[in-house]
Amino acid sequence: MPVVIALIWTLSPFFFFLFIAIVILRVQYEYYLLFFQETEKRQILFGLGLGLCLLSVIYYRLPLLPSLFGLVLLILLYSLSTLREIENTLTHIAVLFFGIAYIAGFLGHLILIRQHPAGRELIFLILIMTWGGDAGAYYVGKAFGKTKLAPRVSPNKTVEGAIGGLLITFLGGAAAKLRFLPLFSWGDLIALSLLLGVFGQLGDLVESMMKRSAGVKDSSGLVPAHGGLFDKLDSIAFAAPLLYYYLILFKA
Amino acid sequence: MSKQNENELIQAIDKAHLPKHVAIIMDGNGRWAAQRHLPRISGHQRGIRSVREIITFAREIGIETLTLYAFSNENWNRPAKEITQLMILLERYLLKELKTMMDNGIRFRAIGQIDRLQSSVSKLIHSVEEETKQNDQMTLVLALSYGGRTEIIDAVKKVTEAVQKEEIALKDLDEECFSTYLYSKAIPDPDLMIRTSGEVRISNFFLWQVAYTELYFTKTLWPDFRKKDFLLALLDYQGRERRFGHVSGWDAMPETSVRARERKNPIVGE
Repeated sequence: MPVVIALIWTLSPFFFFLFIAIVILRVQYEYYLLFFQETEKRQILFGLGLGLCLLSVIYYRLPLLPSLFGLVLLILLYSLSTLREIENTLTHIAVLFFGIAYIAGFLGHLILIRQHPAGRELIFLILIMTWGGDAGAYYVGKAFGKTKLAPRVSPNKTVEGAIGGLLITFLGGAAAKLRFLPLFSWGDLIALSLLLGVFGQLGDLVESMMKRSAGVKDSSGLVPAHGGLFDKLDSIAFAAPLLYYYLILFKA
Repeated sequence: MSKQNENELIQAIDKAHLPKHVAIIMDGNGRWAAQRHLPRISGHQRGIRSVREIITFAREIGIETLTLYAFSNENWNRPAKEITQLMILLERYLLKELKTMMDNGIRFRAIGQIDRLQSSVSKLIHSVEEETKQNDQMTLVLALSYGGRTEIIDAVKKVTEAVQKEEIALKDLDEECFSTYLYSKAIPDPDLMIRTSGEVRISNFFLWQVAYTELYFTKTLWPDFRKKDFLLALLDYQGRERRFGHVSGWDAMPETSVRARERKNPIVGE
C-alpha cells in the first residue's frame, strides 16, 4: 500500500497512465471472470486489449466518437470471425463492450484527473475521500448501526453508517484541503462530500446488481467484500468521473 | 474444448439407452471462487445455477434418478461460517424449488445423516420429501451429511439388530437384502457417476452402490458445468460397454454391449 502511494506521488502523468492502466485492466479482467468461462480466455484478452485502447484514447485525448465507432466495429468483426455458439454471441458482445465502457471508461477518468495541474493532489483526494468514506461507513455502521438503509437491496447497510461515511469523507476532504489542496472552497468540499456519498451508494448498488446477475451473490446479504481489486475500486469508479466533471464545470 | 454445439450433441444422444440413475459429485465451487478472488460462498452460489440447469435438463431428457452429492461427512470440518452459509443456501434453494418440483413431477429425497443438520433444515427437508412423495417423473436425491463408509456401518448395525431380534436370519443376508438397510434403499445403483473439477476419486461417496457404475471425470469446475458438459458425459457413457463382470459377446447383456459395438463412438468426453 505505501508503495502505491509513493508511486502515485512520484510518477509523471505518462507513467501514472501506464500504472493505472495495469490496475484498471486487472479490474476489467475480474469483471470479465464473473461472466466468462475459463475456456473463453481469448475473448477476455481481446476485451482487455480494447480496454487498453480506450484508456489510450483517453490519455491522448483522441476524438471520442470515431474511437467509439472503431471500438464497436472491432468487437463486431471479432464476433463474426470467432463465431462459436450463436446463442451466446449477443450476450458476449454486450458483456465485452460493457466491461470496456464501464470499467475502463469510468476509471479512465483518473487519467484525466492526473493531467490537471494539481493532478497528484487530486488523486490523493479521491482516495482519501472514497476509501475513508467506505471505511467510515463500515466502522460507524458496526458501532452504531440501527436503522436499515435499504434492507431488501443491501441488508447490511445502515443509516448511521451512511452518515458516518459522509462525515469521514468530509473530514478527509477537509484535511486534504488544508494540507495540500487549496483549490477547493468549503462550499466545494460540502458539495463534493454529498455528491460522493450519493454516487458511492450508486456504485454499491451497481456492484451488487452485477454480482447478483453473475449468480455469485443473492439478496441474503451472505457475501462479504473480498480481496479482489474490483471491490476496492468500485467506489472510485463512480467518484473519479464525478470529481473530473465537477472540476471542469466549476473549476475551469 | 469440443467445438460441437449443444444441438449436435443432443442429436447424437441415444434416447433409448440413457443411464437410469446418474450421480454427480459437484466439486470445484471453492476453487472457482478462488480463481476469481471471490469468497468461497460465491462459488457455492454460482454452483446453484448449475444445479438448476442440470436438474431441468435431466428431467427433460428423461433421466429417472439424479443424485447430487451436496454435503459430505468430511464437509463438517469446514469453517463454521461456511457451513452456516451453506445451510442458508440449502434452505433457500428448497423453499424456492418446491413449486418447480411439484410442477415437474420431481420427487425429492435426501440421504445421509439428516438429523445432524440444523433442525430447521432437517424439518424443511422432511416436509419437502413428504410433499413431493407422489411425484413420479423423476427422483432427485440430495446426499447431505453423507459418508459411504458411515452408511455401511450404520447398515451393519441395523442388520445386526435385525438378526438379534430375529427379523431376518443371517443365512438369508444377501446383497439385495443388505442394500435395503442402506440410506439409498429403494434407489437403484447409479449407472453413471460424474465428478467435476478434475479430482479423480470417490471421496467416500457411494461405495457399496458404485460397484458397477461407470465413472466419468471432467476437469470442468462445478459452477461451469452446463447442459453441454452433461451431454458429453452421457455420450461418453453411451460409448461404453457395460459387462457387469461377464465376458463380452454372446454372454453379455445384449442391449448394452451389442449396441456399443454397433454404433460408432461419436464423442469421448474430455
